[in-house]
Amino acid sequence: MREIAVRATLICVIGFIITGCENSFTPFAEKRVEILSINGFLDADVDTQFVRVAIIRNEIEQVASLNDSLSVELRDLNTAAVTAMTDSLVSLGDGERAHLFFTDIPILGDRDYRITATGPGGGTSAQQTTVPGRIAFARNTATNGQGTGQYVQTLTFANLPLRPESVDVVYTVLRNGTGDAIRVVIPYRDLMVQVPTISGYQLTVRLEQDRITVLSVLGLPIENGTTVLQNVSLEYALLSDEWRIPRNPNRLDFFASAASYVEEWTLPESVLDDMGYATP
Amino acid sequence: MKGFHQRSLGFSYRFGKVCIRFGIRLFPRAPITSPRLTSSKSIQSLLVRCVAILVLSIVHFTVIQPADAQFATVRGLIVDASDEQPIHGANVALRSEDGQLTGTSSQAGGLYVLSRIMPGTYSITISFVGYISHVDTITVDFAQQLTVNASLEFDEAQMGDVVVESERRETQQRSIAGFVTIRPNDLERVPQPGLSADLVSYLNASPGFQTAGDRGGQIFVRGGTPIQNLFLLDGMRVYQPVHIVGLYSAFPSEIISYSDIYAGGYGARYGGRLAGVIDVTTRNGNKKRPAGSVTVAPFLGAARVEFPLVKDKVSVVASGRESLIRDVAPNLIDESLPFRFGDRFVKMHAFLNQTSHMSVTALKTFDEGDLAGNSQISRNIRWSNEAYGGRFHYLAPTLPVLAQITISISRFDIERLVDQEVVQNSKSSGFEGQFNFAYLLGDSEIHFGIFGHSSRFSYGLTTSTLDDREEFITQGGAFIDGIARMKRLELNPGFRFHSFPSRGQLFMEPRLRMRYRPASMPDYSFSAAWGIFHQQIVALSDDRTVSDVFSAWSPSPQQRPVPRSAHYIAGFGGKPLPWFDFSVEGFMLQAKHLIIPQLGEPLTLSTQFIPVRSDSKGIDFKAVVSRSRYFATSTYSVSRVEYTSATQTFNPPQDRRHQFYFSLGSSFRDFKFAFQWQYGSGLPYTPIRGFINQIEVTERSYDFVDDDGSRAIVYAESFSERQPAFHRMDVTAEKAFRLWQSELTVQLGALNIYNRSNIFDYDYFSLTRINQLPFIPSLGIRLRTL
Repeated sequence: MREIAVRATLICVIGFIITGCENSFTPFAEKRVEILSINGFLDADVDTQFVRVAIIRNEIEQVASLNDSLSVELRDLNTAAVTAMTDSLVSLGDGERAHLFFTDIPILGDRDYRITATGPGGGTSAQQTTVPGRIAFARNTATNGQGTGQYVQTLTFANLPLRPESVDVVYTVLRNGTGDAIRVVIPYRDLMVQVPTISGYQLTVRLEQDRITVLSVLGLPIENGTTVLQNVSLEYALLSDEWRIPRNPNRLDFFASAASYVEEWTLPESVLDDMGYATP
Repeated sequence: MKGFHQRSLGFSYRFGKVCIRFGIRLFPRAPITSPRLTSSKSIQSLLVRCVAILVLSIVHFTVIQPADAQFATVRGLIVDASDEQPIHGANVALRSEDGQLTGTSSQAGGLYVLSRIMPGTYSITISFVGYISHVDTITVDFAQQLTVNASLEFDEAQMGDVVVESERRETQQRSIAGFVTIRPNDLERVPQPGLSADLVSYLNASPGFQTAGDRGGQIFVRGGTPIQNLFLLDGMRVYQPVHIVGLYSAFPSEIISYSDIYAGGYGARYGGRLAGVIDVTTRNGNKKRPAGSVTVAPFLGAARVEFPLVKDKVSVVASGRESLIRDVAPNLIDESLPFRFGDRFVKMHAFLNQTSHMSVTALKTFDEGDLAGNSQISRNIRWSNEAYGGRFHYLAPTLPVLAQITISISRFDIERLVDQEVVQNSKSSGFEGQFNFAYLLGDSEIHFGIFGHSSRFSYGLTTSTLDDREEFITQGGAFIDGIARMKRLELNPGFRFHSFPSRGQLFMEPRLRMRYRPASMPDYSFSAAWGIFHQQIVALSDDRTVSDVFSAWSPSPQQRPVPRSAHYIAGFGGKPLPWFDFSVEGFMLQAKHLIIPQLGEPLTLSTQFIPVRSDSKGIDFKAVVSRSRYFATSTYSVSRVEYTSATQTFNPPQDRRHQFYFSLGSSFRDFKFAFQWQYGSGLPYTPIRGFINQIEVTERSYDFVDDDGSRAIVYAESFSERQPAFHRMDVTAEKAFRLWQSELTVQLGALNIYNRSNIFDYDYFSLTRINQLPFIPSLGIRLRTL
């Protein structure tokens, strides 16, 4: 018994000495390969897409090499079309340089895109995004409603999981019934109400209340009855899921997409008359 | 808990397919309600019933016992004759003329009660190790309430053997399923350069406890996190008592009377924490004459003074410690150790009469240090504790009931600073009241009480959000805790009704502790503990640093269940030789509903939190050799801690697999030599992948062409690597000189004698390693009155 205890103690002590002699510490993960970082987003509303690609550095102050030869390709997963993005090296304010890749291919909604960057050492990084598509919404008839005596119109967005980035109701009007059309934009995003039963949102457009805003923008008194309302439209912008929290915790990549859409409609003449708009 | 009988003052527990129900039905049977009482009215109602049952218990045990009317009760107060310090744990033995023996031990505050004594003549012996026993003959009559107080004189003849005797007592008090009582003598046997023995040094050498090293101020118990431990000083909550130099805490041996230490499996009188309990009772001060001590060493200077305010009745003890290492280190070791810490303690104690006494205590601590190593940008951390409280002990004149009332307020502030600017802060404060009663039945005891606690937490995790988040919580409830000592078996069952009114939840927490001494092996014992625990407070800390000292205290998120743990501890120990003692203890701590920040995310107010389950298991070994000239202690722990989230399993930063400790002390004439060696295998940390210029994309109009971004670290998988092992050896040699009524002790020592570079932290921005304490020679001098 005593011998076993002595031997066990000796084995433990020797083990501790062996492991205890090891004192090196590296802050870097053991399996280090060339790691590329992709930052950017596809915007369906602009002509040129930009994506910044960098090789992560070993030191905080290290500057990226000018000789790094990177390549980036953008693949439309729905059509399998591949576009090689063009490289440009930009200098940043702190002396750091970055590879900025761009392309002018049109980005379309409801499409899946995959971007792949390849470094000089063979390291690759790939990200994927689905460009948001047009969302369907139901629009009821404008009613002199809800006991307020003021016209409203309800828009229903079923199966819309996240609130759009922006939602504006736009009134296109002619001052005094003549001249150029004037657009008056009224933000409505914060007035969208989440409705769990439809897994989406509802929006009540306050047509008559908005008329006061429109006249105010035009510099006209409320009594004015010569303004013509050509149409009402809904302009909304959608962001892909990658914009949502939680973001990539490793702060390495960000690749997302965005798109905007417009829906237009007109109001019946009787409603326009009731509200005080003129008929062209 | 699967069901609660609202009208029956009982409860049921379900273990798989087995359901155990028990309780007292006071009202007609009612259907079992939901597992949790979700309305505050129900909780209030239940609390009222808890209190009612306690009152009924008191009445039952103390009044409605006509058969007891013929019995007598012997009670009293046991103090140290030199300074009137109450002695806790002294043995009281009553032997009848026909040789029958009954006994008890003194409770906290030195009070004892022997009840149900038949009329007759007895020999009473009151003893405690190191003191001359008080022996007397008493005669008690029917229903007499006899008071026998004892002032025990220090036994000079035992002086040389005190160390050994002390060890014998420790053997008797061997860790019982994670529990041990520590006294100042035990602390002073842990070699500590600087002549300032401290409870935290003892804990470092104890199985079940670990620290990240000698910096940082955090202590872990059996896989739990620092916030999961309850630290009490005279019943006052101390949030973070360990100093930034982890060799010291708010508990120096100079102020400690004794400490009850639970490495898990603690009894029903404690609650609100998932891991361990350290309950420190301080000295009351000398009521006979002024006394004190002064210590100076490179690490710190300390002074203690105590004196009678009213002789034999009221005393004051005050202690202050202040670190010196920041000023001394550049000259001593040519290295900067930018740490400042200290503590202030004062206590007034008064005997009100022979059966009651009270105390008022105040404590302040402060810590500050730069953890940035050689980096040009300082990264300071600073924190402070404050606690103020009062305690009242009362021995009922006609009943064998001890009452203890504690009221306290506590506060804890912590800040992280970068380049002298506060970037994160956390403030916690609370008010607490506890009424405890002990009904003493000779060898057996019933403890019960009620408690209430109200806390406020505010914190901010970025410069612009300091103090932004503010939350309040309340806790309350009752407990009952019994100790039944039989010939071979000691059972300590208990229940705690712990409610969180701010969450509208109440939990039943059963606890059980036991010890069994087989008849065939009287020198050996088996022990076990089991219990269920809940804790509403969580710590928010950053997992991305090698060693993070900052934690913001916060209630667990409202929509999440209250974190819960279950402890299972089983041990065996014995004394195969008169000078050799050993113990082996296995444990399993399982916790669920713990909340941690999303791995890899920076710690901000918008950080996502994820629930994790914790599984901790291991075995602790301890061996003690006590000879007349030397003593040695060795402990070894092997354990594994694992966290499981919805998506992954990982080992958290407190997962130390192996921990070994060895100390050897020897005395030769008037010299004492000691050394200790500590070893801890490497702790997990999160490595990095490299650096990039991070672009914070916050809106769609972001311009990728011109933005510089900010320099940022790319982290690899959380806790996927391990630090190198920690080990350190300290040595001391000291000699004491008698000077009139005082003792002058001179100590030569060295910390980290072979100058091991133990890693503490790593500054990723400057790629600089920050090590723990280097080799530090020490010359300490202490002068204290005898």
